[in-house]
Amino acid sequence: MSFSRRRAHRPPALFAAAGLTASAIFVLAGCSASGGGDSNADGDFSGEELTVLLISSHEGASEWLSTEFEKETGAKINPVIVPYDEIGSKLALDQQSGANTIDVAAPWYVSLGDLAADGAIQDLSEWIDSEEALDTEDFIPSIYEPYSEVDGKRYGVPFDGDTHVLFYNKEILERNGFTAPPATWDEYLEQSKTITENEKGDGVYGAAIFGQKSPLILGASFANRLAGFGGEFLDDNGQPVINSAEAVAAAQSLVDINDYALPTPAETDFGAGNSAWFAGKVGFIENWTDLGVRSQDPESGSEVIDKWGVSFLPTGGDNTESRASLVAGFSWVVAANTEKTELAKTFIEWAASSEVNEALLTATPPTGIDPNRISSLESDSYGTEYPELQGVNRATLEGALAWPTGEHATELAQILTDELAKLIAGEGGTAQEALDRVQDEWEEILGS
Amino acid sequence: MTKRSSRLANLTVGAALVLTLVPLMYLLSVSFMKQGEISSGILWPSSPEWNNWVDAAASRLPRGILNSVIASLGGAVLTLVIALPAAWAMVRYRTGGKTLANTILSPWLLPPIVAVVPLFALLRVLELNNTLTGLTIVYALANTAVAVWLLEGFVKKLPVELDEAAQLDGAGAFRVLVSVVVPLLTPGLVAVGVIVAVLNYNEFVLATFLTQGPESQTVPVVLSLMLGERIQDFGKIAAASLIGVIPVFAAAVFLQRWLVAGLVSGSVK
Amino acid sequence: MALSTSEGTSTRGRLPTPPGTGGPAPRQQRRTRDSTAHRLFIAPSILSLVVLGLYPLIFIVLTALSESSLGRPFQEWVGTANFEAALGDEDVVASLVRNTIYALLVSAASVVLGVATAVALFRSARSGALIRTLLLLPMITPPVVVGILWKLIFNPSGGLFNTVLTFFGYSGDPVSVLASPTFALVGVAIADVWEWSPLIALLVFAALLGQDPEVTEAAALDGAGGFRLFTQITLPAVAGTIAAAFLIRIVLAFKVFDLVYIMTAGGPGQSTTVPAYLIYQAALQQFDLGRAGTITVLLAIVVTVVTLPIVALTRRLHND
Repeated sequence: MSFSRRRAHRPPALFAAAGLTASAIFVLAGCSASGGGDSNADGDFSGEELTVLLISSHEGASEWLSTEFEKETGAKINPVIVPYDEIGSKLALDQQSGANTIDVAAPWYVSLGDLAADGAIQDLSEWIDSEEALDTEDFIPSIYEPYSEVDGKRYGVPFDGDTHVLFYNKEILERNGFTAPPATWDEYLEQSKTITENEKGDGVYGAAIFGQKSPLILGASFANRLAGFGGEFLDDNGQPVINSAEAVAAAQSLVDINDYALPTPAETDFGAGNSAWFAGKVGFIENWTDLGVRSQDPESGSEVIDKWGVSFLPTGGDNTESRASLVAGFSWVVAANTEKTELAKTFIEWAASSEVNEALLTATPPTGIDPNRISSLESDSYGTEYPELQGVNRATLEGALAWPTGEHATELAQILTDELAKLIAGEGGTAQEALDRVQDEWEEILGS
Repeated sequence: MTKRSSRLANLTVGAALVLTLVPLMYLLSVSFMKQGEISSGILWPSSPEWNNWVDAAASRLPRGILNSVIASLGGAVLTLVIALPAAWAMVRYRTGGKTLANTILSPWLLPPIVAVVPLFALLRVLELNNTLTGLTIVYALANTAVAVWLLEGFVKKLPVELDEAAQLDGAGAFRVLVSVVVPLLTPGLVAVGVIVAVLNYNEFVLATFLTQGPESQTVPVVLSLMLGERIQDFGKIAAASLIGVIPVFAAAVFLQRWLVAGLVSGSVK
Repeated sequence: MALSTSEGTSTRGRLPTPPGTGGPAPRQQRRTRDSTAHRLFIAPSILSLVVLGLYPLIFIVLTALSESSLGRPFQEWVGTANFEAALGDEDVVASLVRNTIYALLVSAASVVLGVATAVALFRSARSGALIRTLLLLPMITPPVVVGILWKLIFNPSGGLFNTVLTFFGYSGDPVSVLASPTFALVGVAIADVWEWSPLIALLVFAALLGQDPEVTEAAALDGAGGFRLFTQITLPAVAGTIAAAFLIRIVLAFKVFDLVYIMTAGGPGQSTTVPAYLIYQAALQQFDLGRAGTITVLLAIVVTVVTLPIVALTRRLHND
């Protein structure tokens, strides 16, 4: 074969490759894992290390936490950053395989039940109930329960109290003759439609809809509407009610907005939606309250500084009370097999404290953390810097819609998300039919 | 060959070049656009936004590139060490028989995602979870089958007399391999090594689940993390993508001949 | 496959040599010692086959037959219950069908484009090393980057695709390829074809260079030209290579994951959900290893059934 013969000998390239190879092996030989000791008593953990697993949105917070915790205790934090949809599986794999490199993690609260059932996280009931320093009374109750408890046991401590609110671009609304943000999902649809029809030519759309097929993204958009229409995922006995009239109306409103949203909801994930918001290309976006912090930060490349407003999520149907929707939200957990339980608890107690939460709320660069405590929500610093955000965040004080958190909860969320994705893609029949299928599958899984 | 067919051929080559390069040029263009420009439907930014490149270079990307280069080259060398003796013995002496020849490629048939969970457990036994060493070993094993398959083509083209003559001189199998086969096969080894290294460099699924932390994450993992950020900066992501492909593109330019020879040997043996 | 064709193809420019058969007594003795050495030579490769083939296979089959979660595999043997559930799940069945059609069409497109490029390169006066290198770039670009690249091109607000459409006079709503249940998979397929057609082109081009020039010249002197020369002389000469390239391509298309993960996350709806993505979702998002293992086994069966005829064809063409 001519190829190999024609270029039979080319020493220079070969030597280069050999040199690179040799250096690669050399570098490899230099790599080795570092060990870790166990805890000392009484707050001084100098020289110790704690490996903390976080999602990429919390990278900024992890830097702040690492620096401050080291100052406080002398212990070094090794943050491990993973994509938001991998944190649960990373933790479970790490513990199940016996690798046990993770000591503390901050997974999506919905995965607590599955992580507990898989033996990946510790039952913290005793500690949480007895440790007064945690001051659990101060946690916002509607956040504390789902973020902590599964089947009567406590596995988590609230970290990032994520609830969605409705942001609007004041300039865009004014240009289109709207003086106030929508109170209901119907008004929201009307305003979005008007904006899109008027300004589509300039690349401006009424709303950005997080519609990518992930429970944290599309699932969140649905949960926001479900809360607004007054629906629930499960009833008081833990039985699915996901095909209720309220839920169907919520799903339908997601279908209705599809045509007037930033193209296209199915492709819109956090990054795409937020980028359009910062560029001033969308009238509405449902988001975490910390979006407001970033919207004011010139470093983020925001073009909407001082041009935005924020309100409670709209309502729908017979429901007139706006209700917070706990869509994302992350809890601190202790890995099942860590040998550093004491240090882990010390860290969590500190990281979940009112002072730390308050500091994270207003830190620059923005950390993406939302209030999880009454005291930090009502703190002067937050109120002074972001009075509007403080106002809408109070919605969580009135009770909130939370996802199911027991075993199989992540599967339930995935099933719902898959059906919703089909629905807005026009493949799933009517909203009623789609949710009937979800109801059936949920009933099967929950054994009802 | 007629003039007409040659003109058609030139046109086809030209079209292939356009289709190949335009997407890459667009990536280059986006890497110089500001956020607003990306959504405004222009082909080239009015003034280049160098900050995208500065931001990309200031991220975890450089470390990711170093990790990728180490894992891909280390893995490739190990793969060759494992695969060459096997390819030689299988071609020359039919060691392993038809069964081995027919099954060697079977692990390659399924997507790597299916091996993530078992491999994770295996690395734990070796205490190599989340280390670059662990990923390198996985890469070395993962590509052994493909390397054996490609090397067979080169071994077959070696004159059999040479190693038979060496054996008559009394050299044992190992010495024949090291002092006769390896020198003769150098072009093949480099060719297959380049291919395996490129495959390693580009691998995503195993890297994303078997590594964690900046000290072991590779380029595709770093890029996927950038996509997962709350604010997606496509200019920066485009710049990072381009910086990330520099090593493989450089390999393609400087080692094109080896790369081509290796790929060809496998299918045309 | 490789062994059975060794004699046939080694004639290409090298001396055909039958394997050594027997010999004088001292040589015989060393052969025994050497055959031990040869077994040692293949041992590391066998080990890798065990580690990456056999061990995952056993693990997967066992999970498929049991109730298994990520944290607690093999909780309870459930027989074929997982298979009944998976085959009764229309999303699973649809994804297997979808991937089969996808693999066949993408491979066919890659082969057509790859062969056309290879023949053009072969006949063109302008096909120097630089051009060949440039044409190879897509296949050495990391799939994650390929996904990012085509996601940007198909981006409905301002991507290259819509900009070009507008340039040619299109004035309607922005076209969103990746959000259309009908066209999203086509969008992924275009990226896939872009990435891997160069491999086919390269393999076929090399085979064209390797064919006997005398045959072509003789045929050309006989008056065969252009199309007839191509279909009657050139194509048969490289048919074996094309079949092998098609086989490689189809396997690559069955393994598509990175592009789907980056470009569409399996959506919209289920329209780009391939089995590899379902396996990922089941194992690593829902922690359901039983379901993941089951889908893996089903995928393995489908891949085998689809590729076997092509393997047979490749073998036949190589033996000709």
